[in-house]
Amino acid sequence: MYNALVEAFRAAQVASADAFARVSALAAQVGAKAVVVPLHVDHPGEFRRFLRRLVASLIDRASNEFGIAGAPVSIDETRIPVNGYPNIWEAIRAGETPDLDRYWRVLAERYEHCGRALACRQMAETLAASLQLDLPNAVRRFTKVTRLRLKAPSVATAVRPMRRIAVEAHAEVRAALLALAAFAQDAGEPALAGCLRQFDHGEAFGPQQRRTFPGLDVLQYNEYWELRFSAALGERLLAFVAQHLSEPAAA
Amino acid sequence: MYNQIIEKFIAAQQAARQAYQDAANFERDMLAGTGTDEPFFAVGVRSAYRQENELEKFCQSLASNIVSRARREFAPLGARLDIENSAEYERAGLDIHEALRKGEIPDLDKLWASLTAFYKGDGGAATAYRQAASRIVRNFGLHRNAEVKRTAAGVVLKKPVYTETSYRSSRRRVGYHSTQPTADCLMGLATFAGKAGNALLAKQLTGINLYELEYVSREKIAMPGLDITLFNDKWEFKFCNELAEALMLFIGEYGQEAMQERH
Repeated sequence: MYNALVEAFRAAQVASADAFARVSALAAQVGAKAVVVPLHVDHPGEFRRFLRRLVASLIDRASNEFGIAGAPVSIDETRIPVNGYPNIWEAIRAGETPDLDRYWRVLAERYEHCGRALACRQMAETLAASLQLDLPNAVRRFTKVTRLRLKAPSVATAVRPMRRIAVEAHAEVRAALLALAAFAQDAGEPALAGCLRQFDHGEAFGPQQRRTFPGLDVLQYNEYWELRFSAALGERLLAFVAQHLSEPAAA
Repeated sequence: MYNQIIEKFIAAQQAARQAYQDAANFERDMLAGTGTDEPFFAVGVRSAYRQENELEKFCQSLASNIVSRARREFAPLGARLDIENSAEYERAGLDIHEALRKGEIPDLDKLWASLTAFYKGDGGAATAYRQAASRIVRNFGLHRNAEVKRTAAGVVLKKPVYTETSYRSSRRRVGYHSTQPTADCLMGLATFAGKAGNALLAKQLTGINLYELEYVSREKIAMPGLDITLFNDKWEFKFCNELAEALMLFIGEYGQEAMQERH
């Protein structure tokens, strides 16, 4: 399938080059040899760029397909040798045309069975890091709620009391929220999952502002956000993280 | 014939676009089959702007190539014919940008026809000689002081040429701002020599390379019929009598406009 697309693109390149070559030939025929300067089109470069985009889209598709809905498995394609090159990017850089259908089969073989477990583990790792579960007071249990802390450093905005997530923390907070959403979906709380997916973490907030979602309250402090799960849900989250972190990495 | 080339070029552009569009459609169908939510596409189709821009650039370069073909073909042998692109476009009523905006093919055949009508036969030669004469008149200042020094051996004309020290020897070389006027002057004289039938002189004048030339004051370049004495701030051109006669006739015929100019 991918190889067919590569062939189609090659054909398009050849067809367009032919069309322009016919113009030059006509110009040469009428004796205006120097009159038409052939346009320079970098066909090999164009082809290489196309291959890179295609491989990126292939890997994107694989990580979506082999992961859990909402938590794509992150695929390390840099360790998969291709045609004697260390990885597929090096092969493309060297001017090879890798067999992409075969590459897809390799990815499928590697990730089809362990993909879901791997995605869960990656989710658990993300959550453990951003909830700082290695700190002694990371978790506090009350009768009705379980309180966790999400690391979220923020900076003051121009409008005085309002604050915003620091630039370098955006990616982590986003990843943590998406992982939580995926967990909620997995745990049978689609309402919470939907809310978390739509939660704009980059929005300015007043300190100690509270956001209320079904089964989860978020209190936004300066240096961290306090997550108050309903007790049962919080226990399930901790159990989820503990279970997937304790499993040995499959891949 | 040029219009035909443009038509073929447009057809080629459309064929190329169609080819890429087919590949893009193929990819779209293929990824739709995999059920990805937000796929991104690897095949790029060029934007309409880039395609139009390419066409316009192509037409521009084709038009300027046509003019330089006229420069080559209509100039008399060994002479230089200056033709300005924009003036020729105006005479032929050619506006490439406007024509393309209206969706027409810019009429380059008409441009070639107008160039041919204007410069073919004696037209190109007359223009080239007029340009050469005006270069000679301006460079020797003939329109300013009418006195020309005549000696028994011939006629002496002076041209100011500023020189600077050369960094690699104690000799002098033509200064930066004098190079182009001097080259114009020599080119005009070469054209005149060709017209006067002194082909050897024309060849030698064309052969002088001002970027390489280094001399000491009062050095002399001797050529058949013309001696040039190189001073530090002027060059003296000494024409032999018969050549001087021919030069005066040449200027009288082609240089009248330049003689009328006042600066």
